[in-house]
Amino acid sequence: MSWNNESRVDMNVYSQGEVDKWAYSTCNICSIGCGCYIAVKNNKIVGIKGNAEHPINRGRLGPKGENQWYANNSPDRLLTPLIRKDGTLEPASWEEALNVLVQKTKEALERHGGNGVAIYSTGQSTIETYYTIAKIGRAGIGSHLLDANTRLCTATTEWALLQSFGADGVPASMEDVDLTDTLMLFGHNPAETGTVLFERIMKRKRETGYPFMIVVDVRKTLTAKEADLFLQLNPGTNLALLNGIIHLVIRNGSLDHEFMQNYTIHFDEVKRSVELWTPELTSQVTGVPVEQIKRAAEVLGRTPSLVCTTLQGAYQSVDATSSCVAINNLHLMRGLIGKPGSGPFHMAGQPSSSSNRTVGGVGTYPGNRNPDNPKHIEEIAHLWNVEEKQLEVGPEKGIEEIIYLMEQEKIGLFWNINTNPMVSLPNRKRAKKAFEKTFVVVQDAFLTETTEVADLVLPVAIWGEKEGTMENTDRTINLLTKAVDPPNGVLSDFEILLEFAKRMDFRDKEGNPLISYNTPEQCFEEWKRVSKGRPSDMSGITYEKLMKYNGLRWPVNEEHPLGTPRLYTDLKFHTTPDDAQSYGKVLFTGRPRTREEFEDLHANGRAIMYATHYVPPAEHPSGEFPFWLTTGRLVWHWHSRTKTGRSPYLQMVAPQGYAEINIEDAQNLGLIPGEVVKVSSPRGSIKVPARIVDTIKKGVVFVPFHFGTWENNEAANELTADFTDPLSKQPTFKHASCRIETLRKRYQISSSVTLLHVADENRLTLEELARINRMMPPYRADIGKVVEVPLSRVNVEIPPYMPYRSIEKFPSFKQANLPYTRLDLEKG
Amino acid sequence: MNQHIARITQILKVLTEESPASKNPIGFRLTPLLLEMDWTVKHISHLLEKEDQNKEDLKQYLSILYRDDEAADPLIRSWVRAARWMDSPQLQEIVRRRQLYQSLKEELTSMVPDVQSIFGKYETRYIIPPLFRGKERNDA
Repeated sequence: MSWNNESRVDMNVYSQGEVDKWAYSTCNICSIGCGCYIAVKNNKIVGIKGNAEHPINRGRLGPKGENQWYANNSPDRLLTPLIRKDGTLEPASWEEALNVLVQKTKEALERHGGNGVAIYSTGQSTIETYYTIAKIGRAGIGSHLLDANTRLCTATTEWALLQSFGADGVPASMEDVDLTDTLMLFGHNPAETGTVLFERIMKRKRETGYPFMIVVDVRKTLTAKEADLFLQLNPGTNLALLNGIIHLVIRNGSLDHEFMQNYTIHFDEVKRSVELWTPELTSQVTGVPVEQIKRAAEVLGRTPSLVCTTLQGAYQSVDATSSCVAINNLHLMRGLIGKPGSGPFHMAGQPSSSSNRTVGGVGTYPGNRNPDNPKHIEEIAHLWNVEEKQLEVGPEKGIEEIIYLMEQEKIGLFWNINTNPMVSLPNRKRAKKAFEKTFVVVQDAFLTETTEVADLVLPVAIWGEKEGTMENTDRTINLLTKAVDPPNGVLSDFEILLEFAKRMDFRDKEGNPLISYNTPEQCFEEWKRVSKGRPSDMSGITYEKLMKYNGLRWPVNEEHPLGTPRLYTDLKFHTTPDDAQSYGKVLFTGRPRTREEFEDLHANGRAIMYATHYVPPAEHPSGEFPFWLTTGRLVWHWHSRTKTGRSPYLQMVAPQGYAEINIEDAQNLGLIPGEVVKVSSPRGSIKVPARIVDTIKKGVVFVPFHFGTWENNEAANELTADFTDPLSKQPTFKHASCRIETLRKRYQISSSVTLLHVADENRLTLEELARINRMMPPYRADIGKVVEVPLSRVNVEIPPYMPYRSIEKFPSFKQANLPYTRLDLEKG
Repeated sequence: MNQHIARITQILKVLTEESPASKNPIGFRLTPLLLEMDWTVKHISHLLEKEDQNKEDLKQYLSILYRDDEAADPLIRSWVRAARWMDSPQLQEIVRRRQLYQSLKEELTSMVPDVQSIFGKYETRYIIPPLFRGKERNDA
């Protein structure tokens, strides 16, 4: 039972007097999917509290979740549509705005056909919105270019699952995390990206000693600090490490041959592909000591149960899909799938990115239907009552390819829904130029960096102001009810889509409106019928049931009326040609397979293992750019800070960007903490304060990606490269090359300008001045000597989140043991 | 279609004979794709020469050829970007290959009506990806 049924209700409410009502909802930040209630007073959202009955969190909330409601009341909410006229966005009526949208859509269709319109949505909206995007996009507009910001965060999840198991849907769930003996967190830092899940793991660990935690990361994250075994590898070497571990697991004979014989194919290919990956070679490539590799292989080879999670450290790296498939291979060769406490658990990042995949807002057709299978296309055409020929077929396209098409002026309208690509896309200069060539529609609650390139802006409702359902990282469908109406003049995404469909006069083949539902719940009922019989069957779900049972994990149908904790308990995978969601791709090149090639595998219900061949990153440090650049997240902010930047508390805690630089590198460069430096890559540069740490390796620089305003020049994606994984098309944000340059002013020492004078004037200590100028005691500077000082210095202290940890260097209160002494510091 | 296949064959001969142009990892991923395209067009060419063409085999090879492009096109564009950013001495050569590859893509695009005349518009949808097929609706 999750959390041993112990609740702790986290609450963040700002209200004078009692709250009028608590509206049932789900957190809209990360992918954990915490149940919550929204506090309402005088028709205004005044806070949030956790849902003590919800099995995912039992009342707990993360810091971002607790603070998400501030955005609802932010004084800079957009209240009217905006149309760009003569370079300036000007208020317009909904009538005018929607007329423009319809007119521009028709122009794009006339000029380019269905693929002249691209829809780019989000991982933070509802199933009902995504399903409507899928239906309008596919059957109305006829576009093949439906993508979302999920491409940037968890497209790899989908492809790893399609490749190995034939369909999307993570095999394991949080219930398995509660049971497993061994947990490997591969490129996954839940201490900062999914704090409630981390708390769940650590609670059990502190009470029982389980699970044994293996953490694999480039940075010594807060998660890594709690690991039993931490493998700190070089950037771009995930697959090399996994090949090395699997080599040893095979060599040590820790395999379930009977399982492989009956339920998998192609083990021999795996074995051949890892033959050369001895521990010594693996260590040489990855930088992980041989003993640690052997220890990991020993644990992973012997553990009776295993859950492996992956997130951006895997997905946004080179060989992303191959690495996740290697993890699937590991589970399959040990028979550790489909049973309690065992299975791959490839995470999602956003609160609802999984549902966008499930209902066809991105990638494949709704209900895990294969866009290359005529039978699936026929099915969906029948369900939607449209002609098959209206539905585009073939391999999907990702956002990098859509940007290319925009550069070629082959896209007439780019419809951006609730995401901020001008901060989140890699190589953003390129993306901006592409956006400027196309008519861009942006739906958002605020002006953002992306509305700066928009031609039409539509203000929308956010969390708490609309109802619907979301799918979290472990297939749990949660309900969100409407706590308050959105501000006057603001519509929900769902309402805008319905109005658009009506104005475009989209019809089915009998001439009835293509969209026949009017409310999210009605839409969900239609989606249920579409999902019936498919892997993501939700035919047994109702809004009422979701509230009663606090979420249900699909499939939910007659056979499983209360949901399914784990998939593949019957060891039957979706690898028959007419069941498979995709025929898959050639793992090394990303070339989509044909149906015949898939049939020739003769998988027929067995899982597919793959040879995994390591390819290093396309860009690496050299010459002019001698450092690795990697990017990532903070615990305090979500994505481009559209919501979290509007929480006074979160913004105060982490107000700006920075670059984390290794202590030794900082010493070599003569940097002092907080010194503003210029970080440059082949694509651009930023100016940020240096945060000098020992949590990253020498030669690596880390920049958080949240701070992407146009004016502050702190955007990590000014620096990143837009290479993509060949299968998932997910960008490799984690690898680029960069250099660090100091930004200094100079003083010439004279009789009046002494070292002490320079230090005082610039608020430095003499020691700091000496360090900057690489001076040794007794810090003598002769007249005429030139010394440097930083142009600017900013104090960057990012406090930790979890109060119970004793892993920080500076004092924190311990509730059990007071007073706090130097001995505690030494212990800690 | 024969002429398009002949031109594609010529282009692939150049691209594969001189492969890889650089040691960039992208080139390593691209090479097997180009080799597969080369192998595939040779089979297509051979089939087209026959009086009684095996349409199923032709469909399969054409499907593979176009799917090779789905994978190769973004890789080649990445390759050019990588060469620029890494200041590669082979940049000019890689740009030349990109241009050659563009010509190959133009041939693939021009070939669409020929494929449609053999297989019909409905079946061609499952052979040739949508962006090649242009803006017309595909009637059965």
